[in-house]
This record gives sequence, C-alpha cells and structure tokens, in this order.
Amino acid sequence: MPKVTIDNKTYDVAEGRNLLEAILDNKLELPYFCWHPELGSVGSCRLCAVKQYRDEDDKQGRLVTSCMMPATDGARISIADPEAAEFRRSVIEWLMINHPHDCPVCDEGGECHLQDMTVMTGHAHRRYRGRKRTFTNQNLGPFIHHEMNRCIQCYRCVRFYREYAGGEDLGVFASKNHVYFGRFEEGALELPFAGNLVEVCPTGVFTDKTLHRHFTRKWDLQSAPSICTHCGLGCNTLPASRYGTLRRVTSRYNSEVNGYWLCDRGRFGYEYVNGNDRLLAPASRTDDGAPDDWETSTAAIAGILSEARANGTLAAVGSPRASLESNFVLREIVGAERFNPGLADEERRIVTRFLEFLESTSVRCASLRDANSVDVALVLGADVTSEAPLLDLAMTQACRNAGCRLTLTSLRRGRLSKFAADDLHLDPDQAARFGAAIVATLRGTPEPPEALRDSLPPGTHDRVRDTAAALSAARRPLVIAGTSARHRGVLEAAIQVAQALVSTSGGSKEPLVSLALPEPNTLGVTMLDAGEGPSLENLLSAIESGKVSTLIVCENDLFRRSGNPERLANALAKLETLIVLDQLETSTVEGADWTLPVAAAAESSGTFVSSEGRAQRYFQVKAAAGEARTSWRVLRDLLVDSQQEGSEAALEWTATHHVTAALAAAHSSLRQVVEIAPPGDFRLLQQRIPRLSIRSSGRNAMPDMTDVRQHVQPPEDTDTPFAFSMEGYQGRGPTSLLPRYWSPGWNSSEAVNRFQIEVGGPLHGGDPGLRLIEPGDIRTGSDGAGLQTVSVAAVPTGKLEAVLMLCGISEVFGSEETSRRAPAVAESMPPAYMLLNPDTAVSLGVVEDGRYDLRFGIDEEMRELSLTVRIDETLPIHVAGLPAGYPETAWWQAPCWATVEITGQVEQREPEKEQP
Amino acid sequence: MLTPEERVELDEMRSHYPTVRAASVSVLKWLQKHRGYLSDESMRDAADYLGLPVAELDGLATFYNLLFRQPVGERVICLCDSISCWMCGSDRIRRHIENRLAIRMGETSADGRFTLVPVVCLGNCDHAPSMIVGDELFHDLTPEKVDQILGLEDTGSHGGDHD
Amino acid sequence: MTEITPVLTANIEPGREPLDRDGYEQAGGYAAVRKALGEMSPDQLLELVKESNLRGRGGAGFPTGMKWGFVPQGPDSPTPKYLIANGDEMEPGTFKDRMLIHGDPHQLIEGIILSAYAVRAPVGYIFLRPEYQRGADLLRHAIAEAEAAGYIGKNILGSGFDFELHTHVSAGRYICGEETALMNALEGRRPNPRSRPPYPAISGLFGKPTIVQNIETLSCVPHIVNNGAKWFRRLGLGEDAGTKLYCVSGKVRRPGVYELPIGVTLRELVFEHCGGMRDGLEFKAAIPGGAATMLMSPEELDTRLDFTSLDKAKNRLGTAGVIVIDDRTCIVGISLNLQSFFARESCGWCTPCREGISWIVDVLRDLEEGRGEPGDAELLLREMKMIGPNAFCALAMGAEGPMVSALEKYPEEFETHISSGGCPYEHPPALPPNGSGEQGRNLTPRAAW
Ligand SMILES: Cc1cc2nc3c(=O)[nH]c(=O)nc-3n(C[C@H](O)[C@H](O)[C@H](O)COP(=O)(O)O)c2cc1C
Ligand code: SF4
Ligand code: FES
Repeated sequence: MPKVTIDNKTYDVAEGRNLLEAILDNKLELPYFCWHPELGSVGSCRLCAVKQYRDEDDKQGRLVTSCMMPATDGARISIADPEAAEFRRSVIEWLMINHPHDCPVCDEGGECHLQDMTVMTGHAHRRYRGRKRTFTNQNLGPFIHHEMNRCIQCYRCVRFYREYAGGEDLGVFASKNHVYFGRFEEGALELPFAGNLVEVCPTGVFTDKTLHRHFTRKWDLQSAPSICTHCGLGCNTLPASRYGTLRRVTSRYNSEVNGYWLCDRGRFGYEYVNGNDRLLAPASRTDDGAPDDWETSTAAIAGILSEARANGTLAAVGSPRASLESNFVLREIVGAERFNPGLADEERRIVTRFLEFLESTSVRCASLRDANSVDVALVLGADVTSEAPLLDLAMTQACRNAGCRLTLTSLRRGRLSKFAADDLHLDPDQAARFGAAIVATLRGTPEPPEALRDSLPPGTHDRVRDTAAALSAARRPLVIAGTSARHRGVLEAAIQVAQALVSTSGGSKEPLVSLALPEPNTLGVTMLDAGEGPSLENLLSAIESGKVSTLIVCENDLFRRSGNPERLANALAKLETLIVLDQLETSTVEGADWTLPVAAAAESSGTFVSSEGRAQRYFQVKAAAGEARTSWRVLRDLLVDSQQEGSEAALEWTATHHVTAALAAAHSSLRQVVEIAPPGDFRLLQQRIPRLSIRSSGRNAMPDMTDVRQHVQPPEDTDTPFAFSMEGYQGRGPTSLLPRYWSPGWNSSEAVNRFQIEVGGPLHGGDPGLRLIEPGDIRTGSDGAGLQTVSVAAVPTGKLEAVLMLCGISEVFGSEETSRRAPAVAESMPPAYMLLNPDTAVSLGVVEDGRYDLRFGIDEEMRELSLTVRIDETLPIHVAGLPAGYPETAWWQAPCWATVEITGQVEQREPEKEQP
Repeated sequence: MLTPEERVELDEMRSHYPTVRAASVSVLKWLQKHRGYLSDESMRDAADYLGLPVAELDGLATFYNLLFRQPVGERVICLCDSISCWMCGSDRIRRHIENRLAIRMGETSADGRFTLVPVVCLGNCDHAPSMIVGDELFHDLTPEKVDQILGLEDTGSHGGDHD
Repeated sequence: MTEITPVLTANIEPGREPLDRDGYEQAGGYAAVRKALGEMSPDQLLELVKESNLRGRGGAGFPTGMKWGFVPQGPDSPTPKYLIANGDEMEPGTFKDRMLIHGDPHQLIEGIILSAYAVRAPVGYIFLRPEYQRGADLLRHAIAEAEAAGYIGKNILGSGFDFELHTHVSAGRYICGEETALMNALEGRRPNPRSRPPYPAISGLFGKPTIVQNIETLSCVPHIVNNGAKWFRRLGLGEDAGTKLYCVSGKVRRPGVYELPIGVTLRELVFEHCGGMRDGLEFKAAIPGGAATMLMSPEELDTRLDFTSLDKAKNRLGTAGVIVIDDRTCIVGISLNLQSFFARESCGWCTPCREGISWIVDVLRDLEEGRGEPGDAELLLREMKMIGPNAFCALAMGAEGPMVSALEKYPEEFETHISSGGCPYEHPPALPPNGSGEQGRNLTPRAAW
C-alpha cells in the first residue's frame, strides 16, 4: 500500500488513487470542484492545488493539481503550504468575478458546494471592480431550473449528462469566459436522469424546479432514509419535508445500489404524496353524512370481518407497493390460502418462477453495481430504460467503460440501442424464442429447432449465433428480463440462458441475472406469499360464485392487475363489503364500501425487498397526510378487534419492528429482515437521531409557520429511532439511519465523501440493506432440456391487415402508478396513444398524430376507445403498442392478438410528416 | 434539408476524414460558405447528415470565431486587432469603418452588405494594419484605402490591393 | 552585418508564384527524400536530426529529434502513428509559416515526408488556420504533384514506406495551435487542450502516437538531410543550430521576414537588417518571440535571439516574431491589447486563464481609461504570476510573460497611468511613414495571400 506524506504526516493510501482522493480518503480537507468520483479528474477548475515536493530535501516544491497526480508511494505534499492555500483562495476569487452572489435568492444556498469551498479557502473579500457577464437562461422543462449566471464552468454537467449517462441534448457552447451549458434550443431535457444535474452541479445552475414551487432551505428540511417506490430497484432516497408536505427527494448514497444517482421518475415522482387526491379520512359508502373516525370505522369493519371469517367468505389482496409488514398483517387476518399478493397472475407466475430459480442456482441476481461492470449483456423482451431506469444507467457504464457487448430485444429502438451490438425489435413471443434459440446454441444444438427459428424475422439467426458466442466467451455475462411484457416465456428463456452459461462453463463464469420489476416490493410480497395464495382469477371466480363476499384490498388498484375491467367491476359490485386501504383515489377505491386512508412510504416505516433481493428499511419522514395511518397499524387493529384466533400476539405489535420480527419468525426466507436496520427503540446515548439538521432555523416551533410557540406536538413515533426535531444525538449512527449527509463545512451533497470508507466506495459501517438470496454453490443445476416456449394466444380471425398483437409500451413517465400523479411527471407523460409501424399505419389508413376512434376485438370482446396514433419505424409491423399502466388502456392484458378497426376520426390534425 | 446535390459534395468531403466527427468542422464551413451563415436549420441539417447530436455540433460552431451562427452581411470584414496592427493604427481603421458603415464591431450594416468582426493576428504584421474581406487579404490600410476596398468612396474602384 | 546564403527561403521570391514540382526538383528538391528513403533507415534519419540539434520553431523550442524518439516503435507498438504539421500560426507578430506555406509548399511537403518516415507515420495532416485557405489550395496541388511523382503514396520510391498526406483548414481560434487542442480540433471535438500525460508521442490523435511539428521545423529537415547535421549546427551564431526566420513587425523602417543565422542580436536585427526605427521614433521595447514572450528593454539590445540566450535571459525565443515598440507607444496599451488577445482566445477550460486573464484585462482597461487605483500594478503582478504557471495549458503562461515583464521593466508607465488619471499617450499612436522603397533582404512578398 502506497504511503503518502501530507503536511509531514504519513498516510496509507489505496492503490491507484490520485492525490486528491488520497487526501479525501484520509478525511483531510481539500476543496475541489470538477473532480467527481464517478466522473473522474479533468483538472479544469484547478481548485485542488497542493504543493508537491520531490523529496525530503526539496523545500521549494511546486504547485500541482492534486486530482491529476497519482498518489505514488513516497509522494510528499502539503495542503497547508501558504502558497497553495493562497492559490486556492485565488481560484475562488477568480470564479467569483462573474458569479452573481445571489445566494439569498438561489435555491442552492445552504447546500452549495461553491459556498462551502469559498468558506474553506477563506476567500471573503472581492477586489474585482468590473461588470459581470450575464447569460440568458433556458426553460429546460418541468424538472430542472436553469440559471447560467451562477456557473463556475466545472464541466461536471456535460460530463455527467453526455459522457456518463449518454445524453445528447445538453451541450457546452462558446469559449473563453462565455462558455455556456445548456441545450441547442429551449425545451425539456431528454435524459431521464437529468435530475442528477441538481446534485452534480456544485452551485445553483441546475436546481430542482419541483422544490422551487414550495421552496425550503436544506437546513429546514426534515428527512429520514427512505427507499424509492417508483420501480423495483430499491434506490436509496432522502425524501425531505417541511410544514407537512414533501418538498423534494435526493439520492441517498449506496455503493451497491444506486451510487450517487436517481432517475427522474424517482426524484420527481414524490409529489403524489402532497396531491389533492389523497385520501384524508376514513369513509364508508353508507355515509350518513356523519364523519367517520378511525374508532368507529375500525369497530364496524372488525365486526364485518369476524362475521365473514366465520362464514368463510373473507379474502384479501396485498400489494407489491405495500411494505412486507402491511402485507404480513393482512395475510394474518385472512390466512395464507385467502391472501392474494396483488400481482397480475402472469406477473406472479413470472416472479415466483424467478424466485424459485434464484434459490436453486449459482447464478447471482445482479446488483446495480454488478451491472456496471459486466462484459456481455442480453436483454430479453424488456425496455430497461422505462422499467428499471437506473439499470439503464448501469448498462450505459458497462457499455462505455467495461466494453460490454449488448444484445437488446425489445419492441422498438430505445435509449440503450446506440450502445447495442445487436438491437432487435421483437414482440415478446419472438424475444422468448430468440432466447430459446440462444439456449439451444449454447447447449450445442447447432441448428436451433425449426419452430424456434421460423417465427423469428429473417437474419435473426446470425444475431443468435453472435450473441451466444459472446455469452460463451464472457467472464461476467448478464441476462436481463422484465415483467412488464407479462410474458413468462421471456423470463423462462432468460433463466435458461443463465443456467446454460453455468452448466457449459464448468463454473468458470459468474453469470448474473436481473428481472426488472415495476414496483418496490414485488419480490418481497411474492416471498411472503410463497405461492400459497389464490390467483386473482380464482379469487374473481370465488367472488362471482358468492364464495367470497368480503374483500380487503391493501394499497392496490385491482384495475391495474386485471385484463377485464367490466368483469372486475361487476365482481367487486357483487361483494357485500369491499374495504380498501390506499393513499390515492383509484378505480378500486371508487367502488369501496370502506375507504381507509393510509400513509405513503415517506410517511411510514417498513421493509421492501428490491428486485435484487435486497431487503431495505425505509423510515417515516413526515407525519401522514390528514388522518392517514400506516397500513400495517390499521390492519393490526382490524386483526385484533376482529379477534382472529391467535391474534393475541398482535396486541404486542406497537411498533414496526415488532411486526418485522413476527414476519421474520414466520417466514424463513425472510428471517434476516430484522437485521437490516436497528429497531425503532434503538437509541444512541439514550437519544433519538434528529430528522432536522442542527442548522435548522425553526428551533422549537417547527410545524408552525405563524407562531414561535410550539403548540402542535410532533407525532408519536415508536417506529423509528428518529426524532421530529433537531434535538438528539449529533454524532453518526449506523448507515441505515443516516437522515442526511452533513459534516461541518460540507453542507452540500458532496458531504457524502466524509461518510465513505474511501471516496466513491462503500459507506463507513457498510452500505445499508441486506441481500436475502445469495447464489448457492450449485454449479450445474437442471439442464431443463425441454425448453418450453410459451406463446401468446391464437390469432383471432378477422381482416388480416387489421389483426395486430397488442403490446404494452413502458413509458418512463406515465406507466408507473403513483409517480404519474405528480404534476411534474404528469407534464412529462405522453398522452395515451397507439403506436404503429409506418407500414401498418398506411394499411390501416391512419396518419401520425391523428386521433381516431378505434375498436379492438379480443376473443369475443370488443373495446372502443379514442387514441392518438404515433409512428415508430422500429416497431414490428404486426404490433400495436399501447402505453402500459395508463388508465385509458388498462382494459387489456398484454400481449394479445386483437382485431383493430378504425371506426372514425376524432379530429384531423395536419400530419407533420409526409406519409410514405 | 440538404439537397441531393449538396449531399454529393458533402459525401466527397467526408470521405477525406477517418471519422464522421472529424469532418464536422469542414461540413459546417461548407454549409456556411453556401448559405451565408449557420442558421438553426443548417445546424440541424449538419447534425442529421453527420448523425451527431446537434448540441455537440453547436458546441463546435459556437467555439470557432469564423463560424457564424447569426446572419452576416454579404462581405464579412475581419479586421486584425492584434498587437502589431494595433500599434500601427488598426484602432483608427476600426473607428473609420464603424463610422462609415454606422455599425459597431460585431454588427451588420443596415443595407446588409457588411459585417465587421475582429480577428486575431492575420500573420501579416509587417504590413499592418491588415484585414480580410471575404477571402481577400488587404494590408497597409489607411482610411482612404478602406473606402476604396469597401467601395465606399463615390468614384471608388472595388476589389483588393495587388501592388 | 551577418550575411548568409538563404536556406529555407532559397526558393522564395517575393511576388512570384511558388515553384512547382519541376522547378523545385531542378532547384535540388526531393533529393533529400530520395537520399533518406533510399539510403537511410528511419532510425538513422532520426539520429541525424537529433545530431543536428534542430529545435522546434513553433514556440517551445523542444529538440525535435528527441521528441521523435519518444514515439513507441516495434511490432507491438500502436498503429498508425500520425504526423501533424502545425500551420495554425496565430501568435500575434508571427508570419513566417505563412511565407513557407505559400512560398515553397514542396519544401514543406518534403520535410513532412522525411519526418513521417523517421517516426514511421503512414498518415500526415497539415493543419491550417482558416485564413490560409489559399495556402491549402497550393498545398493540395503540390501534394497531388508529389503523389504523381511517387513521393507520396504506397511504397514510396521502392522503400516500402507508405504515406498519405491531408490538409485540414480550421475555423479559427488561437488555442487550436496548441498541439493537444489541435488534435481535438482534428477529431472534430471542442479544441480544449488535453492533459499530459499521456504525451502526444505516446497517445495523440485518435489515441495513437502523434508528432506535431511546426511548419518551419519541418521545412528544415530536407536541408539537414542534404547537408548534414554538422552543417546545420554550424549555421547558428550562438549555441543553437540552423537559420531562423525572424518576423519583424512594429515601428521599424523595414518590417518583414528575415532568414538569418539563428543567434543574431536584437540590435543587429532591428538596426541593421530592418533599417532601424522609423523616423523620429526611439526604440523602447521589443517582444522577441510573438505575443507570448517577455518585453526586452533597450539594455537588452545585445542579447542574441536564440533559444539558449533568451532562456538565460529568462525570456523565450518563442516564434521569433519580433515586435518592436517605440517611445510613443504606451506599454499599458500594449499590455491591454495583448491581454485582451489572450482573454479572448482562452478556450474556457480552466479557471485561471478563463477568469483570471479577463480580470487582468479589466484592470488594464481601468488604468487606460483613468479608473486606475493605487495598488493596481501590484495586483496585476500578483495575479498574473499566479495565473500563468498554474493554468491547464501554456496559453496562460504566454499571457504571463509580456504582462509580468511589462510591470517589472516599465513600472513607471503603470504609475503614471494611476497618478495622472489615465493614459498619457496619444491613442491610437500616430503612425510615422513606413520606410518603404529601401531594398533590404526583406523576404516578405506583397502578394495578397
Ligand atoms: C496557445 C498555444 C498556441 C500555439 N500555437 C502554435 C501554432 O500556431 N503553431 C505552432 O507551430 N505551434 C503552436 N504552439 C506550440 C505547439 O503546441 C507545439 O509545441 C508545436 O507545434 C510543436 O512544434 P515544434 O516542436 O516544431 O515547435 C502553440 C502552443 C500554445 C500553448
Ligand atoms: S490555459 Fe486553460 S482556459 Fe486557457 S487555453 Fe489553456 S486550458 Fe484553455
Ligand atoms: S478538482 Fe482538481 S482541478 Fe478541479
């Protein structure tokens, strides 16, 4: 290990570090701007200058830019050297020449790296007498505010946006001190990771527009560690609130998971929590006008439950977006055989199969960090960018840095296509067959079976061969599938590819798999359910036949799960009692007899299991809206009050960790979830950890805007070790309990470097969360010789050119349930559409951007709908794409064949492009 | 949109470069030569043609001083303002041109005939002050000579100075 | 007065079209290519150039042969290697490359072929500033002629050496002349300089070993091959080798390009070759090597203008663009002009240069316009000394030279600007007549290139 002498003290330094990293690794203070652990050193800001000496006798030394110099063994440097210190002060002074000094009105103020570095260097007096140059700002869309005058030209934004994330529409323009960072022309930034600019920019050029509308200084934000709920990757977040509303979300560093980043859906989707459509008080349909309160509703519902249970007519639906704890208590109320985990049946089959596979294989379920460095990747039937956005960013790194060879099979060209060696546009059936053909090739069946081959477009065979060859030669291959195609064959193929790689490599490879899951706890609820509960189909039949007459639905909109809304609506209407717990109005809530408002993730505490199989705890950030309560508490009261047998134990459940412990005891696959974070009664020096920063200006009267006296008591909190105040333990707790990154002198998000073992590496004390499923030592596994391909139901009869396969198109903004209710995300969503290949559009006689009345025929059923036609030449001609997760198109279950008829035109807009 | 003829010429030029990106500046210069300046539309045409993001190309176009992203006059006057020319009176020439054309440095005359821009040392310091108008270099400038070159004197002859 | 037989300018005649290939060959051209490719191995050629003590004429004066020696060779070394002729020439006060390009393109091409052979580069680029479009046309024509004669192309003269040569005409900006910025420019990237290491000789254009050489440097090579290293070394008057193209501008009687043995004194150059100062003017200062070098005061008139002597004088020969300043010209005004140049031509990459130099400009403008304050001279000195050596590339160091030397050698000029509330000189300085008509060995043609 190299040793470096810094100001006459010798320090150990890891191999391959530069001097700046060596300094920061040892927690010494040295200012910097342009260097970033993920973006590297470019030496443009010059702020990190130190004195370097040739040897002990060299007293003169010379100034060097520390981020550009390797920390070689024996290096001698000085940070404190007066000349170096003066130079650094000068760098700030130079930057301040044109900086507007508008800190009071700048959203970055108080968490500004430029402010921190200014203080750190000691520059305090301005000597420049001239005018400042000024720029015109651009409107960059609903997420990001642009204020170029504050720019200090560290080039971090373009380096992140273009070089790291592969975005194309942010650039650097002009030269000298007119260098400008922006777009070619005004307009929303295209990159779905643009929000990271807010954190990457060391000053207030790129700030969070959603925060701006309800602005609060960082020091007045109340925060706690949380987990993103807008897809299954489990990115670590820091939601922050003030005066009862969420104000923003920033990334919480986790070197295994999201690193420094978040996607824009995760960052800007939070505003649904503040929405006008939040459910605020318990309500019953038989409302006589008298307000319902929790006590009376709980009592009434408990009565209904005990009766239904006695009759054997009770059932429940859990949710992949509810915590393990809530799902567990709900399951306790109705029993395993009457609990449905709340996934669409096909999705549940897929996830169950995936779990089975993981438990019986030596293939590792990839973490995001793993995905960053794979050398060959195959994506089967998934649109990574929209289904698991940060996995896209990881694949971008793999392709750019690790030279990853990427094969994509998805419906159309996407963001990752430009990195792909093979970019095939296939329907899910074909994607599954493509995977199967690869399996056959890997297993040495030289010609894939006819059946597999024939249904693939011409030329695909070569792609099969090349991809298989690359996979065989790979050291760390990764196979990715998704669930949003709702196609088991795709996952089956992915699993078989991974397994074939294990069995044909004799253990020399470390194959990885990943399944993109749309919701935060899909894996968790599936593990809990363990395949024991009824399918939705069976549940519906049971309702239809009267066998089930009382249903509790927890945090789930069943209309997103079922392919037949009329049938579902009829069945729900047939129920004697439908009890729905949720945060927002949904179609399911609409039909409920009892609506119980529950807390959102940022308002409660619990456990999710991410698509990596990582169990992670999230903690309550703010009091729940209105009278909403944490769903497991509501359910526990129902469980206790309905006097379910064995519910005595539940009497003791007064804090989340009690429930966590109970579920860990009851489910061996989940037994480790108690270990992932300290329990709610955890204290440090008998103190709680403050959710508010020590810099808070609110002091005693935080929740009140108008009065300095504290007359609103903070909510009681048995669930977390956090305090709703700035009082409490001021040291550093366990990493799973870090409510912010702050360190004296480091008020910006850069403070995280004070918490890492070595800068850019794991957190001191380990990254939070625990992987529940580690690969076994099973080096062979079943060869699954007879690979089944599962195909989409038969082609319906009808006019041939009008028979199309309806496939779901995942949208980064719009397909996910809760984020689409956030205004900024809603603004970024494309309106509902039908996507067609240009040739298909011609044969249907429709033009781009035209809005048409459409009739879809699936089996015997007909659906009518008005949609706008959009064109994509990369879409297969036999496919009609409909946006996934849109209420307008929620009536169908992708993929399926349908007749598509144009019955009229709603309004003819001039087509922008000439049709071929 | 590029015309097919334009494409043919650009293809020829592109073939001289080992990468598409390397041809960027030449493609931009070519477009400027034929279209007067690089309008947003021309930038998009170039981006389309090269298959490069327009933001990236504009990063080049706005870096180089002789790529014009704003309309310019029929003749662009590039007046050297570097040390030797300055010592020998380029400032006076500048003021003279500014007065005669009623424009300031960087502006285009009202009749659209001239744009005046500063340029670094033209490598012609022994005949300071110097300027380039269009593609032609003029030197040992005096106000009278400038009028003549720009066709601003009443009877003046046009064109360069070939003594 | 030192006399020489012209070497680099032997074929150049003011006002005449350059020699075509036939003419060039008749004048002894391409003999060096025949000799080197026929009789010498690349390594022998490299040794010869090393021995000749040829130092780069582009500004830094780095020994050319030594640079070539850094290029990794051998079967496992990266290919292709590139040779770039740097014809960006935008250093104020410099106009020698213009003359070589326009006056004798075949000499340049021959030098390029030889240099490429020495470093085994199969591809060459000539990078030209946009104003040298006519030069590009001449070069393209000459390249075609050379190709037709088999000096460029596959298996040149049966030597087994393949070489292709392209021209690239840039679109402006002084920074493009910096060799790493130049490579970015050639690749179609923003011409910001690159960090070193890796050095271009190891990883340059498109990540391959690359040699960037000034036009004049390259033009010397054929003569070294023809006449030998010893001959070349002996051409110099002091410790350096060869002849040098001195570009003299400013207030002398006969400004122009003079090919002289390297190492003439400033006095001889100004007062003998250039005919002295224009009527009624006194010599106040000279900048010896283009805008990026230090002012020389009258006491330094006897300094030899070569790399070694000027290094000793804590100055630089730079491009040997000698700018002569008279007693009616304001040193603060000169500084303002120079610093405005550097500020405007900064690429905008690093803080000291981008922000610092424009601050310097601002203070200088205050001084010129009567807003100067006591302490400004000290401020300029301190800031400039901090900016220069600590910027990312050498542009800022170029700005430092003339500024710091002006402050140190002409402090009274700055003081009077402050005490008298503005510039005491007439602005712009009145222009006494150029001493034209006299016939010197001024090599600058007057054709409108
Ligand atoms: C800002 C800047 C501008 C430069 N411009 C030129 C130039 O126009 N021509 C040139 O030959 N060298 C120029 N140089 C020097 C080159 O970087 C490089 O050192 C030179 O081309 C090497 O050739 P030589 O060794 O033959 O001198 C410049 C350097 C800097 C820092
Ligand atoms: S010193 Fe810095 S800003 Fe100036 S030209 Fe060099 S890299 Fe660019
Ligand atoms: S951090 Fe080292 S130069 Fe910017």
